[in-house]
Amino acid sequence: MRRWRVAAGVGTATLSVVIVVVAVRISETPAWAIRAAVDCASGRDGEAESRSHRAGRLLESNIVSEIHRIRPTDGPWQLSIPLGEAQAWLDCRLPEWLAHGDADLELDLPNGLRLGSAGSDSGSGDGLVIGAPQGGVFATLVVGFSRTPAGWEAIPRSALVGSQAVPVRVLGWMGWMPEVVSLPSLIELGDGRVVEVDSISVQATSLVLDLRTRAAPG
Amino acid sequence: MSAAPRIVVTGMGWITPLGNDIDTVWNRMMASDSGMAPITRFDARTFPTTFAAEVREPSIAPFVQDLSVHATAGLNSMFALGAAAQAWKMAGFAKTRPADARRVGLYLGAGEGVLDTINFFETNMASWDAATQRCDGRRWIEAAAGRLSATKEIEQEPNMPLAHIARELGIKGPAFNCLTACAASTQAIGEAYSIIQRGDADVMVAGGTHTMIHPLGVTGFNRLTALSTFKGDPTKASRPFAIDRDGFVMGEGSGMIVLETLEHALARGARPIAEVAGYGSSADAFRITDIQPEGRGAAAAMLQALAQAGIDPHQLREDGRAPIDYISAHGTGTKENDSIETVAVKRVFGELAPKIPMSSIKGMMGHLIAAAGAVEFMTCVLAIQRGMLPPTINHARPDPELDLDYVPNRARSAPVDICLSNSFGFGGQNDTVVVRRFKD
Repeated sequence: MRRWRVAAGVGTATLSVVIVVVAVRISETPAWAIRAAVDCASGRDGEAESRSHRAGRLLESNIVSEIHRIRPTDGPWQLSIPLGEAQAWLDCRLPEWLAHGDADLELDLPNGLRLGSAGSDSGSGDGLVIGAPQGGVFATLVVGFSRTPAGWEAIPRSALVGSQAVPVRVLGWMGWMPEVVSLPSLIELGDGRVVEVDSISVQATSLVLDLRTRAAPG
Repeated sequence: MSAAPRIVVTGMGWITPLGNDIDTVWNRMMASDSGMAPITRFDARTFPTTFAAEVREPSIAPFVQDLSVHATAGLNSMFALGAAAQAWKMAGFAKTRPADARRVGLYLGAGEGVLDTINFFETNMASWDAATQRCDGRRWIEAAAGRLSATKEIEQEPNMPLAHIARELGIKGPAFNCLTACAASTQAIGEAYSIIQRGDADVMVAGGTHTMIHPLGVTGFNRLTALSTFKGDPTKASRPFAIDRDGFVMGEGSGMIVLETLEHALARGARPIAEVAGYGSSADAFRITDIQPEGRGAAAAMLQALAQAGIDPHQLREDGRAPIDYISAHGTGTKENDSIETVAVKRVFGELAPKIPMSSIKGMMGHLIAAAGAVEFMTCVLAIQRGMLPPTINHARPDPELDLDYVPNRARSAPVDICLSNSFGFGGQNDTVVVRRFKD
């Protein structure tokens, strides 16, 4: 009887420790997602433009310029988007687009959205790692890209919470991330030309798009 | 429904940092000359930007009949009077005035005049209460009554250049002024064209005038980080479309044209020098201090103007030339404008965009703010008349992202029949006018 009580006590203590450890790990933010507050000073009104705002703005300008560049018809070209600069765009330029852009641009994204690279995520494969604080914990999604007849789809492949030491699967739990996000495979440039997205791949520190500019019809 | 009347240009005049008559300014542009120099209007040595493109020795004496009538005119009005008088004379109205002054109108894109700055500052200082560390309202009123100038208060109103021109030239028809930032005078020309087209006037004097080379103007654009803070030779400061561009250089001056129906011009024996073919206007509806980053608003204004002119931007002409021969770019020399304008031109002309020369005269003349569009429109007319394209100077280091033909550094000989002139303003204002060679 006494031995059983000891065993029960040890078991309870062990279970308690495990629960505490799990709770701590779940409540931890993964190291790759921890960073200082972002300075998004825009450089207007005499202030110096922050490094993040500048990085996001220049990335945007570069993408717009590259997409509209006059190229040999149907020739393949590649656009590499560094994830660090994409993060800066998300932090500093996206809010400006949401506040001042077209009325049909509506996104219900969580605060503190983070982009990760494959190097920052154990076992993410070639997916894009995105995360955000959610319900008191930090939730991480690994998103893959698939070509369909209608275009491209971004599909969450796995979801984790906390520091990822505890792989609690939460797919479908994060309301801001639908199970499938449809993406266009054709970008219309307004002058009749279209840019076709041939492939989307995630590399160690960048998102890489293989593209092709089609001539205007006629 | 009858066809819209053809609207022709019969007179032009300008007062600019490069000179005060058509030929002097044009010849200096053809020589890639610059009007930039250290600011003389006030002591700017402590400002982040110490240079500008000023009009040298502004005077209305050569242009008006009675100086006393315009004794209170501010710089804006002086520039406008000089430019309008030249245009009026070229149109032939100085000798034979229009038969019906009520059928002659004015549409200006004139900026605000220079504030009574020093007296205003001194009034504030006189009202300062050291005990409360605030300006005292009662003291301010007392000080203001003795210091502030009533005529300067009136003259700083944006419509005053219009009033002076109307008085000088006897114009009594429709009278408007718009102040749509840096697009104002392109809009004024476009609206004047529309007023004649709809039959509200036979003749319109249109254009713009502006000076912001004063402490508040320079400070404001410095705070917006829009001005170049170049530390070397001021003539190298404005570098549109170059990779090392760092903002615009403030200019000042005025450009004025005379527009009328072809029928009216021919009836009085006037010689049309060009034809306005189309006008477009749009708003970005984006962040107030930023241009819509994909150039959608700018492209919309260009497309509207081209459609009105009956020009398909994707169709070569019968002789194999591009749809138009030249674009007078807004081309301020700011990072954002030049990049987005390049994208916008591609959005309009697509694969034909690289075939169309596009230059910015702001590298030579500075940015005349509200007056810029009118002066650039006139440059288009002169390009058509003289078969030369003005250069984009200081283009030593091209920007790999900006890959159109910017007519770098030197003027170029070219057959020019159709031009498009762009102007974009803070707040997301976009205006474009298409002008073509006049043919019977």
